[in-house]
Amino acid sequence: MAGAFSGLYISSQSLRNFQRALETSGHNIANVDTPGYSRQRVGLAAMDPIAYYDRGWQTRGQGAFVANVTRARDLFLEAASQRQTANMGRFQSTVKGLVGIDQVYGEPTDRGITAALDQFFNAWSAMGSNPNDPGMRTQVREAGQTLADRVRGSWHEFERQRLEVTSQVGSTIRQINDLASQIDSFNKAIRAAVVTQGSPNDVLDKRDAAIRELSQLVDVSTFPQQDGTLTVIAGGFSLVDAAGTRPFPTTFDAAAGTVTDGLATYQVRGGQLLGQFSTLVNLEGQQSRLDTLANNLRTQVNAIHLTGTAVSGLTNLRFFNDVTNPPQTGATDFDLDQVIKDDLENIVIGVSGERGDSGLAQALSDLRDTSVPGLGNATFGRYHAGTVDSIASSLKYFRAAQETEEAVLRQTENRIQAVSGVSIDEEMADMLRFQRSYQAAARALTIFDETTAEIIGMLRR
Amino acid sequence: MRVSTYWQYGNYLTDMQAAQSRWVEAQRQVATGKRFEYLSEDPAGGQFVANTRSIKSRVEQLDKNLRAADDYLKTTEATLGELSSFLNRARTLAVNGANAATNQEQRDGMAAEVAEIQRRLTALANSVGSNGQYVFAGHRSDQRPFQETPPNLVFTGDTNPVTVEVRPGEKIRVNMVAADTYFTGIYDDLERLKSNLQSGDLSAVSQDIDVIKAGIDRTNQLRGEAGARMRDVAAQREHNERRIDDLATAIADVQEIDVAQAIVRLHAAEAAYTGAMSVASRGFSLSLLDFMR
Repeated sequence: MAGAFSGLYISSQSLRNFQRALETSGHNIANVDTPGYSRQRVGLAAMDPIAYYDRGWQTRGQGAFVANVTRARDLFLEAASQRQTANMGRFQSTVKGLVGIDQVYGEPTDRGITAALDQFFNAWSAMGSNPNDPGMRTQVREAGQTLADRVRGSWHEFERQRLEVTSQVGSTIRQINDLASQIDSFNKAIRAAVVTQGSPNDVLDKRDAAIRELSQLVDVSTFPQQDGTLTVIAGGFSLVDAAGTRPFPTTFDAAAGTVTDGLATYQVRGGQLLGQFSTLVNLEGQQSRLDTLANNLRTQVNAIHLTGTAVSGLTNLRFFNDVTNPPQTGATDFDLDQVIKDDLENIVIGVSGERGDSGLAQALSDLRDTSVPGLGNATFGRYHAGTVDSIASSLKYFRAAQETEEAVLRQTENRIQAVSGVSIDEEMADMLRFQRSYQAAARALTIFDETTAEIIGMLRR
Repeated sequence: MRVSTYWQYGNYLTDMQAAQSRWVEAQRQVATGKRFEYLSEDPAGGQFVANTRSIKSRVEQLDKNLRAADDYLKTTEATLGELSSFLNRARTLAVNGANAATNQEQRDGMAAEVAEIQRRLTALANSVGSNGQYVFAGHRSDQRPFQETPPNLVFTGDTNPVTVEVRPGEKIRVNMVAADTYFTGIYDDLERLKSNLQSGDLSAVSQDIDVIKAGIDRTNQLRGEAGARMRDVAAQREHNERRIDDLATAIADVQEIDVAQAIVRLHAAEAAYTGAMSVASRGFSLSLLDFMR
């Protein structure tokens, strides 16, 4: 459209362009603190020239237009970040679980089971050496009670944690489903926008943020589709696709690290969910070790205690409670036998029942050095030390893994920020540039206006 | 590298937090005096500390057991010492009684004194230790083992060994071997002396002098044995105390911090934290905005 007004048209178009560029800088500055926001860039492009005939064909430029508004984004870094976030989520929740266990054991302090075992055997040793001191009987009962309380108390604390983590698994799965439906609605908005309006940058950012949040919970892989939607696979399970969402399976096998919807089994390979699974496995392992410890204490201590006679002449007395017929009940109700609670005199220290016969007390004290077949031929102390040691070692390992993953993730985040992050200084410099350009375009408009006015004035004469 | 504002400010925060957590950790070490609290912070060191604590608590218990052994042996030794002086008195009485210059009235008086010594002997044979246990009663330590039913001393205790655990798995006997025959034997000797004095049988009384003398020798020998075992126990206690000190030092070496070093580290961490804060505050105040009109 060559003509007298084309210069006016070019200038007003470029005023609009620079206006748009300024607005985009403003949008970037406004979102400088928005997590997951990627800076946007206005892509200006020259308009197609028009051809006209003036002693041969000529072309004349038509100004510029806003070709697109793009997000600065590095897809490779995005994928790396998803993976690392999933590892991070897994390590964090594993470490959290192990810290809980480590703190319940409270080793090496005076409030641990190791100290209680030492005190228990020490009390028998003291009893064996001072059979006539009634204070020693009290000491034996107190030490036995403390030992039983700690073993039982730790077991119940693990049980509480186990129930808590089980319910956390439920809430993790609910969060996965919430995020899935968010991603699905972003998918739909993006598909609609791609068809009608071009790139919906801010919705894309929001979807990316939702994906990253999902990576924290479970390992995620994503596949972009032609229509702008994203297919999301979580833990091997197809969670979101163009058609919509499918609810994440709620039946799980913590030991295998799988979930199942009845039709197929899906392997969870990362994220908070996997960490929660391994915490459940750890807790159950600790409970079974405590069960073994409690049952063997019962068997070994009672075996000696039952052979003796109390000073009162009573026989067949147990020190720890136990059932006559196996299976034994484990740590859940581990306690002193009621007869010991009722009367200190029911503590058996010798075969004969004479006040000064403390042979069995000494035998019970020697029990601390005995290898117990039920504990894999370890002594009570070594067995429990093994329990605590394995927890401490894996906690140390996972803490180190978490720190490494944190550093790696931070590095990736930094690189993402280097590509996508907003810099206020840069935006200010851009704004100055666009402002100057706007001023120049306005000046050009004035000149075109004056030229046009010239022609209109000539016509008036 | 392109620096975004979010990243820049985020980094200030991360750096400050890292410096702060190091600072807090250094503070904790100085405040508690411990290098670590939980096993997971140093599994190898922690396991060593746990084991050593176990051994230490056991040695402490064995040391307490030695006090019980000491109690038995001291009571035995003191009892025998006292008995020895009574027997010396009995011997003096026998020597005087065997003297033809002594008249029967005096001998009757001596016999009464011997009877008194027999009562003292019975009392000594029923000696109790600090827990009220009868130390010569064997396992039946809650009942008086010796009853005087003239002309005999009747033993109702038993001769089972009373043992005390003094080293892991090692027990020593702390009550006297064959206390029954010893005490009843001495009693019978005195009984014989008494009746010989009463009957005025001078040759029998002079034989009793040697019998009593043999009793004194036996007593002193037993007393010496008890004393030797007391010295053993004392040596073992000394050894235990050194061992407890060594174990405490071993625990401290692994678990406790070197205070001077920890304080230096605390200062270093504090300086790093202050540095991170001052870097951040400079960065915060720097912006292109300040240079634009």
